[in-house]
Amino acid sequence: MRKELPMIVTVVSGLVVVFSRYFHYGMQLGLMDTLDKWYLVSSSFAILLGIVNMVKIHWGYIRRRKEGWWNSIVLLLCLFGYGALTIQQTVDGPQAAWIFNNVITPGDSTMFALIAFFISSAAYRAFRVRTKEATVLLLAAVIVLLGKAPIGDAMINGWGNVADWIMNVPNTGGFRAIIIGAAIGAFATGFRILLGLERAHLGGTGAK
Amino acid sequence: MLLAAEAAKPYLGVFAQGMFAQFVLMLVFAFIVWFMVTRAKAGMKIPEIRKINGLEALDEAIGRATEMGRPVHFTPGLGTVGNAMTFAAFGLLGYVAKLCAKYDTRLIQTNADYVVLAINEEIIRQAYLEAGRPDAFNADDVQFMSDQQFAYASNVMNMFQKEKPAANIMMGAFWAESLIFAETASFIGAIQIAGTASTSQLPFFITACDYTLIGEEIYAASAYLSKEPVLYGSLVGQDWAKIFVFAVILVGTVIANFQAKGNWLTTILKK
Amino acid sequence: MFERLQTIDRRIIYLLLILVIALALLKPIGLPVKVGDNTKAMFNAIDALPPGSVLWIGMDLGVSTKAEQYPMVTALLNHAFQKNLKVVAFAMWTQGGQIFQQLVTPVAKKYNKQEGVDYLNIGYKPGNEMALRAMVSDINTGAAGVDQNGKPLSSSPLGQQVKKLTAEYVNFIVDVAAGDPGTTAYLQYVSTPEKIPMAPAVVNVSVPSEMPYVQSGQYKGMMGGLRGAAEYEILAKAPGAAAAGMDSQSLGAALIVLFIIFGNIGYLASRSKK
Repeated sequence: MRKELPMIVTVVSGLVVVFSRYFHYGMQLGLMDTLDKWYLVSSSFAILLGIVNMVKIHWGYIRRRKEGWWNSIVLLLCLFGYGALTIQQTVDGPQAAWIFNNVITPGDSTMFALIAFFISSAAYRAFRVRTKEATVLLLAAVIVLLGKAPIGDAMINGWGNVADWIMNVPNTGGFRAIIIGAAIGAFATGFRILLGLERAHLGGTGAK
Repeated sequence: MLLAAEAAKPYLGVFAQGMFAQFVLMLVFAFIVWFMVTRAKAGMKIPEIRKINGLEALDEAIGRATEMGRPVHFTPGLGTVGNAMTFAAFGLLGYVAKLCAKYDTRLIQTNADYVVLAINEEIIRQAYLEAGRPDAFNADDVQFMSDQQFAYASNVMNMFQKEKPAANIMMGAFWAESLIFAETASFIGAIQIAGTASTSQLPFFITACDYTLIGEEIYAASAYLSKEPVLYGSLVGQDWAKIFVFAVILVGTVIANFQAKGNWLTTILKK
Repeated sequence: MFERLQTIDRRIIYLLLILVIALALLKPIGLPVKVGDNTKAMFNAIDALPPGSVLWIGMDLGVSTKAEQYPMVTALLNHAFQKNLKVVAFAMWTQGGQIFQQLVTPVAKKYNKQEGVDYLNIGYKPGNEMALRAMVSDINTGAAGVDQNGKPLSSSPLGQQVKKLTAEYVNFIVDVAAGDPGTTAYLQYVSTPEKIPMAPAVVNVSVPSEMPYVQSGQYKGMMGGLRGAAEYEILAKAPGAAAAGMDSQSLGAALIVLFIIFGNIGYLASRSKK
């Protein structure tokens, strides 16, 4: 039953969603609303599950003195310390807001800003005229990079229009195709899960 | 303020308003996929899948890591268990784990979701069991880093610097952290195979990785590697569904040139 | 000699990038910013709303995209309050509610707008798309009855007014999104079935994947990246951080292109040597 029960629950839930979405009487019964409420409640519990899991893993690291175990102490202190603070004074409270604005915000923004540096080194390394396709990639990248910033139009009037054409026509056409293909792929994956043909998530190494 | 809408009446007495065409399309796609799966199960001939370089390179990547005595890293990205891309990653992880077990290569598997962690741990354990190496499985190498995007990214960056994996396999749902992983792995000289249907991250993977599976190629991974007839058939069904969509687009484009709005095709698709 | 141009240490690239961006921020050049069609379309759509209309802002972003998206929200709020629109904010991302509170306070003060009357911050509610779908049936259910600060929604005039996320109560949606869940959820579960016009305000990397929906008319325009934010600031006559960052973006892009050219010179030189 360990694998059969989750499959039964999956199939029944999927059929309920199909019935609620496509059929008038399914909509009238409000089954989707009920399912949504259940999901809202269970996702709130999932936050608790995440906390328990995190404590279990990092407590294990501390107990076993795994390399870098003192980082786990810092993590648990921050987890419960900040959690207690926000419960006591809400997230907009003075100390909680200070930590959010002066520790979390700069940290997250800095990590995101790293992407600018990484893309510059990646572009420098990758955009070479090795093949015809690579040359097209290079030219498109240069045109769009400068065209989407004010400097493109400042250097040559109309550069921005060429960049816009590349974005609106070949780029959007390509993306549209990828989105359609990916959506059909996701549908087929969901269909396989509903039919019980996809079992990798139940601990197998593939399909039935 | 707008006036309150009247209660909608069912279409054809059964369907919700505006859902009939979607339901029919869903049935058409489902039938196509089911038809091909049935043919495959019955052992009948189905079209071959073309070569996907990224998947062909998996053996090479893991072999390289084995020769260098360095680990393999696998991440399914930031997606939750409800994400189809994460499911695609499950299928691939089983294959990678089995190969690593066979070659006695260390596999470090990082996660950003605790439910996905539990599933991946089970997949890897099962793979090691099937490869006859249950003793080699190390639960400590299946790691939950953080469910916060950049905390996860910085943890993985730190792990790359410490463990220096020779192969970095990224398959699943990625967002801004994709380039952080790819560039850091490139700095340490790892061979990289990435795959995602997150369209915004594809350019980063294509630029920074050695092999990239684009869009639905990741959904082909399980079928391609296992050669399992049912998955194979489902994949072929997907492609036929795409041909059907292409045919509708083509017909729609022709019709729209004569009558852009209110033509019979848009009327049917809005039912 | 030229072959070495293809192996420039990446730390030199990073250092020069920092210098160029910082320099442009400290001593702006003032390159003119041309307003694009997508931003203009979005601005016009919101500008056409009569006073008292309800603008729903999806705050689906985190602090990581602060530099790109905070100016978007600020420009939007300036425009909304200039037009005397009512603003309701809801977040599917954990930090979205706090971010909105942080950004709306100074703008509301500037235009003498009151919380609960002119704007309402429902804040973050867990459940992603499910919470959004629940809002369509009843905002109180989706929001668990309280706003970002824990106050009952029924205690504020705007909370009493906007009962559901439907066209009857909401006139336009702008989803400020840094990823998933975001614009797709709004398009799928709210804008299309409930026929509420919407436009996304997304980070630059998401612009290509949103373009098909803009071209099909499902979105009424789009604010894309820092450039989009700068364009919106110009249209709303409220210049801010985005407009100030345009010179840095220009020079940063020019530097990257320069290094790409160097790399190719080095590559071609080494190829001709062989």
